[in-house]
Amino acid sequence: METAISVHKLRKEFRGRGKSIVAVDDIDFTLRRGEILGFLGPNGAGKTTTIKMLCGLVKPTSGSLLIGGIDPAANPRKAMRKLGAVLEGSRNTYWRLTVDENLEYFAYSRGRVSSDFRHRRDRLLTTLGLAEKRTELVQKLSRGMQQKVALGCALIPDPEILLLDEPTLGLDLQSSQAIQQEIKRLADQEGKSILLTTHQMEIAHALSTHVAIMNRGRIVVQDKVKNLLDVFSLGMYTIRVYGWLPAEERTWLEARWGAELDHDESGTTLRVPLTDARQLYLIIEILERHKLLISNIQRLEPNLGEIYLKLIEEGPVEATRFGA
Amino acid sequence: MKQLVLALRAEIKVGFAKTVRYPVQTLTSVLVLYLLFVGVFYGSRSIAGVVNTPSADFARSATEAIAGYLLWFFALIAIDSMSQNISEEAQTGTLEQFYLAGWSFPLMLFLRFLSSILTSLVMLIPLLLLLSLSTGVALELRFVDTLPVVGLTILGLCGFGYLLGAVTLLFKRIGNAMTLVQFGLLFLCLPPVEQFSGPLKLIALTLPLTQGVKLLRRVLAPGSEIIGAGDFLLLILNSAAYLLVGIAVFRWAERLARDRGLLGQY
Repeated sequence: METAISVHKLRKEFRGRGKSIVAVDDIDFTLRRGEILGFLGPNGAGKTTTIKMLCGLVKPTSGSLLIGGIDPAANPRKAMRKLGAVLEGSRNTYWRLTVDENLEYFAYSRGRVSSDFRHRRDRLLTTLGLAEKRTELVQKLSRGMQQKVALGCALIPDPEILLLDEPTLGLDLQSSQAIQQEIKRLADQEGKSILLTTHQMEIAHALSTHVAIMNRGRIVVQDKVKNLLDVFSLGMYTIRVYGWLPAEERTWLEARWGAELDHDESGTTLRVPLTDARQLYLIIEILERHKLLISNIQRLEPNLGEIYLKLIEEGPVEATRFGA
Repeated sequence: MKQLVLALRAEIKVGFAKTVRYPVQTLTSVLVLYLLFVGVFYGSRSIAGVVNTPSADFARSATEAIAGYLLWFFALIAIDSMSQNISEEAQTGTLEQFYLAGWSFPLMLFLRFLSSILTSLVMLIPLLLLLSLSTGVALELRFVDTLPVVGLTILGLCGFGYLLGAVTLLFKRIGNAMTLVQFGLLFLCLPPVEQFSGPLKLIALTLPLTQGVKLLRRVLAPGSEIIGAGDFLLLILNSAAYLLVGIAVFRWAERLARDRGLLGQY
């Protein structure tokens, strides 16, 4: 698959007055065409510095980065043409201009005005739900609308790669979902490669095809979301039955299977960690023996948030544990 | 080249949109600039005790002051578009996007400066009319002579703007220092530089405005003579020096700012 962003041994060290801070410590990661890479990590992990280096705002101390196969240090104009960004903490747009004027400015200032510019702008306004607001000043729009304008401005020059830093931060549920749908559509239908930074794990989980988790300047893990979920799968099942098990069986289940049992008025809930799903039949056999009706069986899956916390707390994980 | 023209068009359009969209702000700026001129010009004459001078002397003195004021106005544009603008954009969070356009930073700033010069005509034309009406001086705007002098001086001011822009990149909030520079320039370029003495004269002579103001005064003065090649060459050298040094210093500051992570508030 075509590589959109390739980072190798990238390092940024801030030096000053005898002190040296390593913000980014020899990281490697790749973003491929059409992928959404969730770039995650706690505050101060080095994500922002990495994004700044990708945008050309910070000069790397060492290492290499390629944007669409182009080295931005050697050919910034060509590299930046492939990049669009909505950066957190920035307005990203000119509030004293209208929505239309902003889109026009960002297209023209990048010299990206094709003959179908008007058509493209109109289509973008419609897609983002901004068509009715096009003549309004950005400063008068709601936060959600302003964020959509920022996304529109990043998209109007038709970049191949998008850097989205907390694109849904501070938005209401409706606006957040609208932005999320648009991000998904951009990757799935338009083949845009997206580097998504967020602290909202449910959004990272819902949107990302891959994740890279950073902590203390290093990438703790980079893998497909699916692979991570598989590796961290707990193999934990919950079984809800009507009625109660005899004390002897309870003790045996706890000792043999490490099960946890909760009783209440209407029945029992078993939580059993199983290494093989076939072991369920043995549990069911015991329940059947005591004529306990099963009302529900569920496999508990970890979510990205839990995996993230585990990785951040445990530190770097060997890459060999994960699939490519 | 075509892409560069498109980028310039974008800057000009935004500049005009902002100017026209906020007419009260534009009119207030014209009024403030007019009152400032009246205050400084008549105030200095009053202090010097030359209020009641023959009309020919007054006309010459007013023309000289207007010439200085005109170029000071362009210096304001340079400071605003190449220094204060960086600071403002860093604070409002658009500097990153400005940078992402992919053009070299000095080139983007030059485009913005150029567009600011063009959009400032909206203010400059009524201001000159007001100054002309209130002083009773009919300015002889001989464009063939005036434009090269103004154009070259503006290039020097652009270099000066880069120098201040470099300071802004490294030290961020320097609004008060810039105000000091603006007024310092005003008081150094309104009176004829020949009247200064000592260190003040030395400072005035090294400014990007001085040579331009001197020549413009000569061009605008009633019955003026043609500017000599030597004077013109000095203006070219002065402006070229400011421009080249300005760009070099700005590039150095940009490299330093990128290295230290100072670009943008983001």
